[in-house]
Amino acid sequence: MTYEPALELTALTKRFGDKTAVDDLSLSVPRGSFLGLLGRNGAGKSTTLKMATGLLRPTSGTVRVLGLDMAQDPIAIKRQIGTMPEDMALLDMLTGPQYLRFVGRMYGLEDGVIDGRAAELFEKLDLAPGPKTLIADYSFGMKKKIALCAAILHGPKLLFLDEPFEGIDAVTNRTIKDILLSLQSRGTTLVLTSHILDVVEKLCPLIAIIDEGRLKSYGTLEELQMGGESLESRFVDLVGGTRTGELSWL
Amino acid sequence: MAVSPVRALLTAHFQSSLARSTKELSRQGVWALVLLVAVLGLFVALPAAFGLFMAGFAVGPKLGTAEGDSATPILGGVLGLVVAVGGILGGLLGGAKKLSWEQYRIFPLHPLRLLGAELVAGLGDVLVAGLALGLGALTLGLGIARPALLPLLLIVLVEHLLLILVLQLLLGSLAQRIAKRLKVAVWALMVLVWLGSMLMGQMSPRRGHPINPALQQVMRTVAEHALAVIRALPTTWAMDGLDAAARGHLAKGLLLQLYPLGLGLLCALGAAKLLEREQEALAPVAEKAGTKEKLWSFRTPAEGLGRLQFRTLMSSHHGKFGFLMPVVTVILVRGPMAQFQGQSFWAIPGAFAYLALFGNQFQFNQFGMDGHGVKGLFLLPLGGRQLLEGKLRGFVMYQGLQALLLIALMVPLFWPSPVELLAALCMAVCFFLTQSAVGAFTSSWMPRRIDRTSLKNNQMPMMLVLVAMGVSLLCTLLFGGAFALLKWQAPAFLLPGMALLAGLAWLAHGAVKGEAAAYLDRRREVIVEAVG
Repeated sequence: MTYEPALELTALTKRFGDKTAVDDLSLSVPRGSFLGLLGRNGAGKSTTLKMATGLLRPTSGTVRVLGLDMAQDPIAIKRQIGTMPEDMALLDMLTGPQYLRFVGRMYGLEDGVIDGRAAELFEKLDLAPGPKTLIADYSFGMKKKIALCAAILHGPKLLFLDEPFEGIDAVTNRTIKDILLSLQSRGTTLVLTSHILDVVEKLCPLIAIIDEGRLKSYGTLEELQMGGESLESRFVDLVGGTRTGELSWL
Repeated sequence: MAVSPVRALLTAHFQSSLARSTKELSRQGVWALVLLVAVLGLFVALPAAFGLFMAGFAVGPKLGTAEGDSATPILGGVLGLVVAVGGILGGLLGGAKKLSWEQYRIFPLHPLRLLGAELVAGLGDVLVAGLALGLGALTLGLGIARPALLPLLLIVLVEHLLLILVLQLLLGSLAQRIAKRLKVAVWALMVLVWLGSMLMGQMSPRRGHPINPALQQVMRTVAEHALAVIRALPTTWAMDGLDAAARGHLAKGLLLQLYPLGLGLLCALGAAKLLEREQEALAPVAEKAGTKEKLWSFRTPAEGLGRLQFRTLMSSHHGKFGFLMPVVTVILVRGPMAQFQGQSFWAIPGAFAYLALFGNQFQFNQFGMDGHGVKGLFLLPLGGRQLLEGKLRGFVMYQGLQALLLIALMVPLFWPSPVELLAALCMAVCFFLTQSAVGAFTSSWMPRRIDRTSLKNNQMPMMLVLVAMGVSLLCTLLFGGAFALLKWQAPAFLLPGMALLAGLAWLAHGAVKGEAAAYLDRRREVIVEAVG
């Protein structure tokens, strides 16, 4: 049997006018792994994820997901993946249950299956909106939760999460982590972007560091920490950040 | 050098508006806009300003004379109309609330300063800018004719501009509230306006028929009351003040300005309070207990997308106000246009053609109302064809309802035959399919976000306006012309002829669907960037 990675990016480049957001990035993510994509703000993490999920077309290079080419089979790929974009991209004039019903039907799930899964997700995530509350009126944390529900409702083989832990409370944070780990234990491949090193360090056995659109480092956490350096020190070394935080006027 | 907060706000607003326009219009759009502004300026604004200047120059010498007594109510009435029309149109169509209060409120700024900046920014709206030019020209004409009045004329100019700006701000906020909370009021308004138009139709004199004496008496009484109202207008008081100053009573002239100026300032304070409250109301709504909502179910993705699109339209302010269009159409046909001859030939096709115009802003920008959700739609396993089919279904439901409402309103007024009605419906189908086919391309070519919760700042880009106008004109000539011609020359073939045209339009729509879907798939990135 030939080895087919869950995600394979080859010489991926994205330019917006004169600005190169992602520059010749190549990466191969094995099936069943949990990859943390680390980088500073504006490093190109979200752009990479958008190309991997078919929201952006690469200027050059290829994206292969679960053995399929994104340029050739975008619909077949989208059926098998789940995505939670950073801004959540929700249809906010629907209520939470209506939205999940809509998304579930788009993936061809039966009403009964959708409702059963939605009820379980709502319970696990402690999501209890009013019966007619529109998503537009949800709090930020509730929106994050409903976006996660929509991304995993159809049981994707590969799940992309763009900054999933941004702006949520500690309890929800813990619940989401548990759900993600349980998905991984059942064979789902996960790709998560974050600029919070702590989260990535605790969750992701596989780490890629991106800076200025280029892949700076890729390997397991142990490989990155070789020489006893902490992930934070290694990260700062790779991306060349400043180490002093004093301000002249304070 | 320190810059005042208001100036900093205005600079930021100007820079962001300029950057947004440049980004949206692109190079050819900017040239088209420059050309349009030049043409409008040369052939509309400048002649109008010159006319007003000459009017001011002619009226100026009459101030302070016996003739001034009759000139001031006329001037006051005209200026009152200018203020009212400018304020109402500006408030409803986009002039109001230029600044992003949500963002600027985080700065340590007094709301009155923010309001001051808002009023100045409001001058940038095309309508208000045009009115300001006109008022300036009139004032200049009056000032040259009566140089001694110039200082007072400046006060008059400022108070009129203030009244327009404040009125548009207040009405913009009120329209928002009405659309948000009073669905019933909109429906009630529709019924009232329709009833009024029917009565107007009965009362308005027809060509060649003399006005009966009873009606003359009613009209005279109405005119007397109208004159009393005009005399009480702040704009008339402003003109009375000018007249008094021209007679040498400068103190009285200044005192009379207190009413328009005070009213403007009072309304400005009210607007500031209203806008503040509006921001507070943006806080999340408390969850209500109640019955479990009904969930959707559908067989195909296109069906689900259609329902979603219909719901999006029906829950948007623009969508709700769209149901006033059939009433407006009937009023136009039955009221001001009733004087034109041959109404039996053009009334029905004209009404459907006019109604179709409203659909342009949705059809030519089909993803505009999806907002961030467009990203969610594009992440679903759906191809361009399914997306467009879903949109089409949504529009069929929405515009179909509008057409049915128009029919319901027209039947008791025109009593069209069933054949004529069916033929008119076929014509509406032709319009709809042409709009939809062209819109499928323009929606990917020049997408723009439409704010679902506002009636303001949702105008189409200039290039799209030109395309929409061209398509509407072509449809009216082609389909409306065919309807009128068939009814005139071959009434027996009216229904078969229009049905044939609708069939051909359907075939043409189907023929371009694949290409439109492929174009959409190529432009997904552009749509996400513009709308999402």
